[in-house]
Amino acid sequence: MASSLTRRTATRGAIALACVVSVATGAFTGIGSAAPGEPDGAAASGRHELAKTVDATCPFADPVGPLKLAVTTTATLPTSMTMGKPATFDGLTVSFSLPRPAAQQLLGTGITLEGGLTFQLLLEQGKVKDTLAVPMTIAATALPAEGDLPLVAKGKLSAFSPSAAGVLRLRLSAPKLALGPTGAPPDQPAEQVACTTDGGQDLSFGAVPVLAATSPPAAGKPAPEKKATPSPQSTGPQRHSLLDEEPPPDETFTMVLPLQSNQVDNTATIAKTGSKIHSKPAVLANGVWFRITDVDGFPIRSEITGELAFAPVTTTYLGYGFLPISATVEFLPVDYRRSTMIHSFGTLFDGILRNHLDVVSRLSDIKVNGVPLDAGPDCVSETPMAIDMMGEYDPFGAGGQISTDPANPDPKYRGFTLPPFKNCGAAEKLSSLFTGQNSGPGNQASAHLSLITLCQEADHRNCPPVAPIPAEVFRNSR
Amino acid sequence: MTRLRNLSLKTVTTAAIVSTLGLLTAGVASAADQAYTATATHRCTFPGIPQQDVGITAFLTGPDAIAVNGTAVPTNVGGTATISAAVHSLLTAVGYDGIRGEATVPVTAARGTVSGPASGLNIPETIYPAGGAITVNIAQVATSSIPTYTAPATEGTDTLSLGSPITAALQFHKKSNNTWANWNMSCTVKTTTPPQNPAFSPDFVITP
Repeated sequence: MASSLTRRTATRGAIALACVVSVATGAFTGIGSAAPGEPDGAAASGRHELAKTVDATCPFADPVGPLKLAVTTTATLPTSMTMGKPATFDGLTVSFSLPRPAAQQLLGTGITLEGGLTFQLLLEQGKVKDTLAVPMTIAATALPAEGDLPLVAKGKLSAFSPSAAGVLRLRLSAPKLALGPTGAPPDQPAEQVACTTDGGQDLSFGAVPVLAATSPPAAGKPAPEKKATPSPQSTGPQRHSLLDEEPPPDETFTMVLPLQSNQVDNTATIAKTGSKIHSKPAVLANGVWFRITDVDGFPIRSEITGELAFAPVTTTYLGYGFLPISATVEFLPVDYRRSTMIHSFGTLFDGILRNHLDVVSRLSDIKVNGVPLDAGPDCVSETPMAIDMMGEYDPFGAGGQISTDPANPDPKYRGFTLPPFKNCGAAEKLSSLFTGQNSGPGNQASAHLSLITLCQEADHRNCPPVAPIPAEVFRNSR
Repeated sequence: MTRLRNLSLKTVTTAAIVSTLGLLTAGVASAADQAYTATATHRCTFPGIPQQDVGITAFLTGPDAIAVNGTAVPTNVGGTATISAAVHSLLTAVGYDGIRGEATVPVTAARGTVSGPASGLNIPETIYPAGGAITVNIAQVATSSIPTYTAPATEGTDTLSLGSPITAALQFHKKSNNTWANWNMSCTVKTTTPPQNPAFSPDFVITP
């Protein structure tokens, strides 16, 4: 194996990471405390705590503008690591004091501020360098009566395995913040602020010796069982409402524009099975752009709504890692018994589209190793799954590409949770089977949007056909 | 008679030539220059949304009278296009804040002839602050191509009108990365009841 750091990237899904981190941490703890020949002192616990403060400049929106933050990162590192063996850091926190004017600006009329951040942890081992994206979550925190707002972000670092012996050096980077008031409606997304580290600083965050793998792990000492830690995005208020139909407040201007249809090419990746579900091209129909500005023209709301319908698709994957399973998967609206179109809600500011879907998943036509398994007519997710994606949208260019991203500073966009299934199985109860195989957090979604160009000719006969019409067909149609 | 004058001289020089040309061809001196204006709401293409209303005002300067069969090349050809607050707001939302480019404006005459559209009219680079409707200026520059008007063979009046479509090779400025995105806009006179009159006012006076 090449002398490089083997990392389990965050893109493999938060649930996978949470499981791996938990298992790796447990295994390490067990091994560390039981392994003979550990050094004395700090090695008694097998780890030591580090703290580092880095000065960063964070460009908040006007009128607050750029602010300097002292960002403190703490973590408990193992005193040593072993080549090829997954390990992680515990107690990872990032804390900083948010100046009161910025907190007040972000809060608006809100009471508590919440969100998340990501930063890149740079790993260096000799000439080999790698980075780990670290997503963290900031719990709802109330602004004190006076003074600045202390915020603490917590998260788990994905497990990684150094593949060569030597000294592993760690370096910090500036965080990307996503902060907004708790319970803010979808049209008021958390503000994202990309901070930069101030120059002339030592960004090193300690070093860990990596030992050569000279002996197999301690036998007969199974890692303590741990349940998978819920991924950060599954906690906290995640409820999203659809378009608020309340009339806008006074002193505002409301503008509504119909939108041209967009083709939507959607892909969902299920973390547990690793299966990718490529939906057939769909159309965002009934697109409307709704905007409210204040008297000075500054946007208060800027929303894109529309309706989507996805055709059923057949997906195949290996159950439990070895059993070939195929299933027809449908993404349906919340009211799927009476409706066929999924309501799509998004916000559009400065070319960034944030989109929210509430979707029910239905399984049918399931075959396990080629043998049909009657899932019944209503094998659906118990609750709708909330899917939040964000990315650039540019009608002048190729359209838009929005997605979830495990490295997004805002936990809402790090993935979606597939709820348990219900009503599965005509002859036998299969819901728990499908739930066990598929349900859980950390699933990823992406959607490519491309404008469907309309012919602008006043006389439709001057519009070119979308596809060449065979001469015979054309003649017969006249 | 159908020829395009490619103006490479400054406007004032062109005006002098036009006056002289009128004098020579018609044998009647034009007393003074006259400003002519036309206004009509057009439906214009924008990316991502259906055609939208744009208020277009065009102006030109020509002789206040022209002899039968005489010719004139207008000067100070230009206009404005007013983009609604809604469309401007959408452009802001998708991250665009500026416009530049060139416009081509066809002009028709009821009795006389016009040698072609006015093309290469400059839309100067402008960054607009967010909020409200925006006015896009269109102006004749040295590289613009201005058509020649030929008066009819009989005296009286003649009416010049905005033709259709008015087209513009535009570039929109993306604020986030300071780049310019191309967009070919096409505008046709909006169909209304009663129909709009996109004629220049006043009429051209055709003298014997």
